[in-house]
Amino acid sequence: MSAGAAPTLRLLLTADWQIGLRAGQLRERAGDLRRERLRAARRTLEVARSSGCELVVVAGDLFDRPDVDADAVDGVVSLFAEFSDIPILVLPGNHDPVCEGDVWGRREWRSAPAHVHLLREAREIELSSLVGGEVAPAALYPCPIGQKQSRLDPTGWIPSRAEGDERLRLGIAHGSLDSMGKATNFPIAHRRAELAGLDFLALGDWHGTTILERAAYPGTPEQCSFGEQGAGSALVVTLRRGAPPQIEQHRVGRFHWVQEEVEVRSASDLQALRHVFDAGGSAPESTIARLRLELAGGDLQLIERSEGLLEQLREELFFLDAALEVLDLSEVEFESPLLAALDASLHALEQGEPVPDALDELRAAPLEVVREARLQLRRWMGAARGELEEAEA
Amino acid sequence: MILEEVRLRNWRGVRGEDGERAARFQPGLNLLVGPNESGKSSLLEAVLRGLLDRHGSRTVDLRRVRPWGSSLAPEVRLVLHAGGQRLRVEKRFLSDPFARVYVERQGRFELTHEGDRADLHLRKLLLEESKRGSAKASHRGIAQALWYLQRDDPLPRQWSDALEEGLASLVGSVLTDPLQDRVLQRLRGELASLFTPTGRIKARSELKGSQDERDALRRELEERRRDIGRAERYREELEGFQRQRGEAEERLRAVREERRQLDLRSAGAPELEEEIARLSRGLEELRGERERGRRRLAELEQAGERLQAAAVELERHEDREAQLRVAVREHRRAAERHARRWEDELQPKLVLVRSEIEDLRTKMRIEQLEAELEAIDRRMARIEQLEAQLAEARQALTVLGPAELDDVQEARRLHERATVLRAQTEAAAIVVEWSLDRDVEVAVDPDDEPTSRSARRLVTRPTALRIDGVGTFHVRSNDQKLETMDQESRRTRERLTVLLERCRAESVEELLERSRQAGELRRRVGELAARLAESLEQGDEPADDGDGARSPSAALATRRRELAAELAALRAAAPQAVLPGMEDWAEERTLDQLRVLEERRQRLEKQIREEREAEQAAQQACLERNEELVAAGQLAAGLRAESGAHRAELERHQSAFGSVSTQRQRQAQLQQEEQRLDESLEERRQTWREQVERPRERQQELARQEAEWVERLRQLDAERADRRARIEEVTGLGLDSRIGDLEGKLAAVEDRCATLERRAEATRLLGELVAFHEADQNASLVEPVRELLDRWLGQLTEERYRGVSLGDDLVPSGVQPSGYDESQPLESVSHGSYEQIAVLLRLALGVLLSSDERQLVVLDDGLVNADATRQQRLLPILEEAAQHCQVIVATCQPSAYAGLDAHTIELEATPRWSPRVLARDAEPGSSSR
Repeated sequence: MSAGAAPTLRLLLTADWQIGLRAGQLRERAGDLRRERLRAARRTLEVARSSGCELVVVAGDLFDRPDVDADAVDGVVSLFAEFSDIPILVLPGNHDPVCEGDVWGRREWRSAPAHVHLLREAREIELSSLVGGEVAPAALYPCPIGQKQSRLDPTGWIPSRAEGDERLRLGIAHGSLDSMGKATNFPIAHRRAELAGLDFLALGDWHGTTILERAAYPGTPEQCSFGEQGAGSALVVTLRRGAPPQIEQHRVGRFHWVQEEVEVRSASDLQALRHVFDAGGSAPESTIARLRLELAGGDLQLIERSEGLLEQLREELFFLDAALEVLDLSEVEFESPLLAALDASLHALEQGEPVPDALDELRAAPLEVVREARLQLRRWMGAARGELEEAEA
Repeated sequence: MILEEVRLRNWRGVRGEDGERAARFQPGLNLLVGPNESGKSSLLEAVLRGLLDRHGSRTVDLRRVRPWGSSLAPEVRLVLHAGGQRLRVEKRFLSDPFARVYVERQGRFELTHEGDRADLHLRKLLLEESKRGSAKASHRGIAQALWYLQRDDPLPRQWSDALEEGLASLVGSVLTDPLQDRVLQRLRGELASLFTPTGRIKARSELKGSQDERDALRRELEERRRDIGRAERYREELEGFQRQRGEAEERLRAVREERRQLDLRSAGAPELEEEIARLSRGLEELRGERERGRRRLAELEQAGERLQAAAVELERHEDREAQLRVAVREHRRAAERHARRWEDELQPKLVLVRSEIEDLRTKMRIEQLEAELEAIDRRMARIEQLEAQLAEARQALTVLGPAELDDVQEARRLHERATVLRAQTEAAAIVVEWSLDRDVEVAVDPDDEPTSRSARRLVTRPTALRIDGVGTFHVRSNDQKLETMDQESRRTRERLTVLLERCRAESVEELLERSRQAGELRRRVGELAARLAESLEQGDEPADDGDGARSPSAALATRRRELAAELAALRAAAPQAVLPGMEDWAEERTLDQLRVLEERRQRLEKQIREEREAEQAAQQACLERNEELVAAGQLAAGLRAESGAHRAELERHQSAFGSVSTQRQRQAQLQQEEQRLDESLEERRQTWREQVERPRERQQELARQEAEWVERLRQLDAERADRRARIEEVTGLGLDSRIGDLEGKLAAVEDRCATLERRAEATRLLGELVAFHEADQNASLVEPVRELLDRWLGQLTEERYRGVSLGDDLVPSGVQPSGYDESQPLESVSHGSYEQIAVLLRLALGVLLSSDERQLVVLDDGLVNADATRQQRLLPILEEAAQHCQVIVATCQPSAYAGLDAHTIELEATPRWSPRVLARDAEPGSSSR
């Protein structure tokens, strides 16, 4: 706080750490991703320290589940202990609500250091009573969550600013702004800050960073799944009585999540896909990708090149979830009438064309099996050809 | 592959340094001829073992090849044509074994394969992949179909896999290329690695491993989720406990608040209790005084009541006494009245009636006696009459004489006998009639009757007729019987006469009449005697007739005397006055009158009896009432004394306590005072109950409730602590991370499984498609075999069979007789035909398989069961087949193949092959026709 001027408060707003996220979609890398989330949290707190924040506000969903492992809670408490110079206010969210048997009553959390304050009651709190020392006069209006779901506005209890009250008024809540126009979980009036005379409303729940006039979602510091937009940041908010809040966005997340569906018709399509990762701006080891390659009219060589590329990316990227679907295979010259008859039968099955009665039962074969059979036939034929050529040589 | 030359050493019968044997074959038809034991089969065996048996093999079968009793090593050398090359094969077994394959290049044989490689190379010539030797036909590769040796089954149930593969490969040699071979080989390898023969996933395949891993991960994940689900359940329980705790706290607060309020309300309890105690004491004193007054009043009232009661009792007893006196008088008068009634009124009437009854009875007795006397008189008169009649009858019976019944019967019998004899005699008698002219005496002797001048006599006995003057005639029957009859007749008449005299009867008729009369008299006597006895027995007991015995008549007379005496007595005694007017009364009227009098007498006696009983009852009642009267008098006296005592007691109480009314007024005053005090006390007590007692009870109840709620809270806190501890226990297990890891791992394994399953299913699909298309190709193999076989079979059987039912596996199942639509099972044809079909099938296969390269077909005495006709028909078939493939026919009957255009190799039936043959073997090639 600067002396003589309007009370100023500089805080770091973060939320939705989702510590303990299972992340099963990342297959064998699930454990690595869980550990990475704690590293992102550390980077967030380092931003607070480096930005001179007087306060860290975690606006809900610090933990992903009430039953998160004791080790995860221990990890968070230990991390907080490393930043004892900054008061940390933690708001329970809908993933870690205040309730009987909640994570906050666990032994690991109870050993949290004194500068960590759990805002478990919806009541006005004088900031100085929490953090002590020289801090701008400010009133906190925490809106803790007590259950997983609700249609009630958790900020509804915040009183309007009393006449003559010149303190900074800071609301802290977890939920969805009702500006989306649809029924949401824990809906929050999008004009709550104005209605209640708040200087700022710190919000959590949305994983993408969203900054409004007097409210903001910092988003999750590390993206949780494919499809999330704008994740991976923390916000440094400077509040001054009578002035709009100043908000700075800081990147704290490591991973870039890429999801692509590519139609491969030629080798150039594969080169383009390769370029996406080469010129994507993020290190491959920090990239999590999901690729859907659809090959239409490709030959065996293109298939093998596609498979080679996917294998290469799988080696390079932090995680790759890839699927290669061969929609249609180009025609191949079969010297052997038997092999030609085989492929013709498979083609007929694939296309639903008539087959001899003896093969009628095979019509029930799934399409992907039929396509795989055609692919195998080509693969084996290619391998045999190679072996013959080698023998010839 | 065809065979050019075979040479063997130390092979069964071939032994010693010169023990080598050789034969050369032509590419076409070869006839291996020799008698039994000449070694044809050994030669063919050596070829097979040279091609198929491993040189290092030491099987029992192979050891038997060694010449018997020796340790010599069997050797075979072959020259073959295969794959466009001329090969030489050398093999030695058992001792220092070796195997070598040479290929002819530029006129020289060069060693190309040796040892196991040579063995392998040779087996491949017959497409045999196994290493199991040639002992079994199914291990001979393609030779299974093309070689038909002795002891082999004509047809197998199924061609071996190797043969099927070989056949397919042979066919495929026309249709396929090496690329297809490799692809199909890869496919079969994949199928074999993925699936069991029944189509299930192989246990050790990668797919199965992945599936197992997936299932294990699913199970573990499910288990871990269940474990961590416990935390959720504990949390739900905690929420429940929390709700219960909130309710319990609320209830506890309410209880405590109520207790506080109750404490406030019960603050004035001591003053109120003091006032209640004071009022209670005053009330007790008042009640004591009132009780004492009530007891005094009670005593007064009791004394008065006792006096009153004694007076009432005395009065009641005096009334009773008076009533008893009246009753005594009444009973006494009643007794007197009843006595007068029966003594003065009824008793005289009874006496009179009894007198009248007695008179009537006397009258009736007199009349009875008179009637009885009259009856006795009548009886006695009748008895006298009967007795007279009886005497008369008895007299008449006496007059009739002494004839007894037996006499009468005897007389009747004699009379009848005499009559019969007389008639018989007369019938047999001699009739003598005479009529004299003059009247002269005719004397007849014996003379029975007078004679006259003319007479007629029956002569029954010697009779002399003396006619006076004439002389005497003697007449007699010449039959003695007549005289006998006559004599008997006479004796009978004499006896009858004697009897009649004894009975004093003149004739038999008289005797019979007298007998009848006597019988009637006897009946009459009996009847009269009975009637007399009856008359006598009627009436009383028989009277004593004076000598001790009592006769009926005497008794009757006695009775009559008694009755007469009685009658006389009655008449004498009966006063005439009693009976006036009754003399003429009929008995019935007398009886009616007597009955009336009897009834009157009974009524009178009953009335008298009743009156006397009434008199006695009245007297008894009088006595009883009198006794009661005495007792009542005594009781009344006692009561009078008691009443006096009560009166004295009452006067004593009144002098002590005052009057009853005074006491009652005092009691009323005390009662009012007590009521006032009681109401006041009850009011205070009500106030106390409301303000003190009930709050205290409620306090106790609330204290109990408070304790319960406190305990409940303690329990809930314990439960909450327990659940929290359990949650911490669950979360301390690292389940959440483990579940995340498992989910990730499971997703990866599921991906891998899906890929492997897709690939496996694709492989299976390819396998099924290949099977389908190969079957299609097999059909193209079977058809030419069938065509050739059908043609040869028709040729052999002269169209008896028009074809063979051949499956896709090239195993025949039946034959098709000409003229029938249906196939005939192969088992139903003769063994010879069956064997011939097997030979034809092998030849057909040989022809087919020789399309690219000649193949060797071997028939070792395979047609031994063919008749001569079929044997001859088979020769052109062999020649036709030999145009396409090499055929070796081994036989011991060369004549059966006479005329066959074949290369012949002759073997001799010697234990060892002859030097002549050996010498010729030096120039392989022998004779040819």
